[in-house]
This record gives sequence, structure tokens and C-alpha cells, in this order.
Amino acid sequence: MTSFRTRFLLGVGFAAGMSAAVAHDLWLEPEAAGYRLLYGHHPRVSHEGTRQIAYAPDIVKSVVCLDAAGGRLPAKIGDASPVKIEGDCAVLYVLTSSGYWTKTTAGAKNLKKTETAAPLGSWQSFESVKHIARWGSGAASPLAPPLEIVPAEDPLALKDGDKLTLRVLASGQPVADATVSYDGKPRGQTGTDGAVNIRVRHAGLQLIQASTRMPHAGPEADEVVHTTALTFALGAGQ
Amino acid sequence: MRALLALPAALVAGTLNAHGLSYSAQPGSAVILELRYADGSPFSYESAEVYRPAETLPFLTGRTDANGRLAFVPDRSGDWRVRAFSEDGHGGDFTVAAAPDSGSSAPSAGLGTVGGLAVGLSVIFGIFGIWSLFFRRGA
Repeated sequence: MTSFRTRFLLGVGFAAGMSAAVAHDLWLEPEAAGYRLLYGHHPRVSHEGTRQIAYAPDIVKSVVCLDAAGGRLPAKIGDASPVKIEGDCAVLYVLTSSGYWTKTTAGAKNLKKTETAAPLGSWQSFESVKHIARWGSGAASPLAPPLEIVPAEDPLALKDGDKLTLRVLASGQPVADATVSYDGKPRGQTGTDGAVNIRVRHAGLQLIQASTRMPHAGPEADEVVHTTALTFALGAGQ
Repeated sequence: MRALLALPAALVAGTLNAHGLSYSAQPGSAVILELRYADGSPFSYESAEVYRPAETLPFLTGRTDANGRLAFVPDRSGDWRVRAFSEDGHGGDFTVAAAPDSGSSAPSAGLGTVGGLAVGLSVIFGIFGIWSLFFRRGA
């Protein structure tokens, strides 16, 4: 029997975030009068630099803009990609969803499990990001969206090397055993109170992410996968 | 009796030439790439393309296997470009230095139809010759 010898086996990893289902980053880039919602590979996560992925503006499902005291402010949401959000937000939260995804032998398809002939796995994808520009009760209090990260103290006052306590909440309730990443690298799991400690390791934009996988209620998918990010800037590079 | 003796030969030829498609298993070396997401899970069943050095026409198009692996057999030396991508925006575009394996035989199209028939006839005549040598001499 003849066989192919393996001359070499190269492992190639895609710098793509937390998992196959939730492997991209969602972040807000400050610009004049507001923010741009970017999707792809954040430069803090990818060694190959920023890589933006085009997305349909209708993935944006909700936007919450708060002043420092927690009062709601109007925000103007653009209809082009990348989506621009104009508003003087001390806290800005954006929820997106690219819908249902099903893994098949012809690759991952943007379809429900019930719409494919031979599904290998399926999930409903949600991604969200909260950016804190100014500290106050608006940033300290839960917004109670499907998933969020809430800092226990003012993260804008941190210095390189300081510890930050965070809580991961789903609809205002603590999420236990959620993996929390800093710059794309897992740093710990939440306890039963949803809390975890991380240490900031550089100035500039901070990217903290958490993800959850829950069973999907209907036949359209196996799981609901949600990744949320908390961003804020420290010192130089704000 | 002759029909019975011809059966194994016909099976051999049929295996080599099923539905007009011939094949051969060759010893040699392949470059095997294992593509994974950042969390280590395999980049399985996704689209992939391999390009010879400095060429724009794909040398190979296909999909990764269930383990996220992709294999190709280089026929020239240089930096081979590999693209792998999925509908949900994942992917990579990189080069791999590769060269033909000097110890392997050159690719061939297999035995083909004529070759398969020749093998089948050879087996038939061979078996008939052995039968003639031992049984007819004895008779």
C-alpha cells in the first residue's frame, strides 16, 4: 500500500478572537462628533494589524447613548458601513446581530439550521460593545442589555499595571464561568457573582471581551452565542 | 472455466477504471496545512485556494477537511500562496515555501483505459498459461 508522507505539517491559526462562532472584534473608534463602529480584527488582538470587515448596517439592532449621570441622550445613527454614531455619549452601547449561522460541509452559511440540508452545528450570533468615555453613574450602573461588562470602579483612572474588577451581566444578572479576555487573550473566568479581575497592561485603547454560549430555544439553531466588549482609553492614545 | 478465470482480471480492470475514471496512489510528499481559529478549533469545510509561485490561476481550489486540513503536492519550488476563507469573514492569505519532493515519482495520469485493459488481458493470459502448464500437461 502506498501512502503520502507528510513533508511538513504547518499549523496556521487565524487571529480571530474567541471562537469559531464569535471570532471577530467589534469596537468603537472615536472621531469628530461621535464614533465609528468597526468590525474585524482589532490591532490589539491581531498581530497582523487592523483588519476591517465590511458589514451590512442593518446588523445594528440597538444603540444606547448616556450622559455621565446615566441620562439618555439622542444619537444619530448612520446608514452606511462602517456605521457612524453621532452624539456626546459618556457611555455608548451598541448591540449587533448577524443572524443565524450554520456550519455545513460547504462551509459556514448565514442560514438557520432549519434552512440547511445537513447541518453540522448552528448558532445565533450577537455581538455588542460598550465604550466608556467619561465615568459616572451612567458607566457604573448596569444597562441591562442581553450581555454587558460593568466596571466596579472608574477604569479611566487606572495606570499601566493596575487591577480592575469587572462584572459580566446578562440582562442585569451575573454570568458565572464566562471567559474574559484582555487584548484577545483569556485572563480569567467570572465567579458566581459575575466578577473577575484583570490587570491593564498598556496605555491607549483597552479591549476587554466576554462571551457566552447558551442553548437556543427554537429549532433555528443549537446555541445563542454572544460576545460583548468593553472599551475605554487610558493616558496617551485616548 | 475460462469465464471463471477471467472474472478476477475483470474485477482488477474495473477497479482501476471505474466509470471511466482512472486513478493511482503514488508515494510522495505533500504539504499539509492545518488551519485553525484562534481558539484552536478547526477551520473545517471552508474554501481554500493554492497558487503556484508568481501565478494568478489557482493550482488547487477546494475545501479544508473536517479537521481543517488542506494538502497539496508542489510541482515547483518557491513561495506558494494559500488563501482560505469563509462566508462569515474569517480567513487567511499567506505564503508557504515549498518544493517538489525529489524522491517521489512524477505525477502521471494513471493507467488509463488502454492500460487497464492491458493489465486485465495480461492477468487472463497469465492465469491461462499457468493452468495450461499444470493441468493440460497432467491430462
